[in-house]
Amino acid sequence: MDTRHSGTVAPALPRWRHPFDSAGSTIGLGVILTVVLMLALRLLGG
Amino acid sequence: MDAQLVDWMLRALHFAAGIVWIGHNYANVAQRPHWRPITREELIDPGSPGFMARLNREHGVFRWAAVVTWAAGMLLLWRKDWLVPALTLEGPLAGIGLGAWIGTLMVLNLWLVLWPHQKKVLGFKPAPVEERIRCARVTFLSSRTNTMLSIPLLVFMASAHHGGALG
Repeated sequence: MDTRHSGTVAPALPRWRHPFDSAGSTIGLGVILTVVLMLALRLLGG
Repeated sequence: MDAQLVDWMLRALHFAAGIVWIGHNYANVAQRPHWRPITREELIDPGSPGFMARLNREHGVFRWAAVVTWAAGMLLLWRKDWLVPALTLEGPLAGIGLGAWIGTLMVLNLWLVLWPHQKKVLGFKPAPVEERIRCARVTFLSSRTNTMLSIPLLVFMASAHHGGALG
């Protein structure tokens, strides 16, 4: 917390978290990747 | 030996070894759904030799299960003369071929990224505590990469055997 300049508390920025840090987002990314690959195969296959 | 019997045995080996390997990965996801940094105190405790031996055996089983899964799958494709068309994503074999490529990536990730770092985390390879803490993060991300990749892998394998989704 930085109060040196204005005396007010600077809001803490949320720390960036890697998507793999949570099981839910890891599996979500896997599902998205699956859909993207399936669409790509369909496009390639005509 | 009967060709169909060999196919059946290879397929059973592929599934069984795959379950051992990916099962271990999902056990890790269930035990640690979120990232928790490892502490110095956890690493400084050397653990008993017996515990380290069990740990070594456990990790060895899962690592080699990955190789058996991959090899049995490739052998199955080769025996059907599907290996080249599958790996070059030709026609109806494109789905299983994509699965084979994803599986290959996963095995390479396990052996070339995860395991060299895991050896330091577990203390099988000497390293300063700070390096072991860094390696713990690498092993976690590497393991979760395989968790993510396992989803399209399983979908493509299943659809290739049961037809349908990818035509």
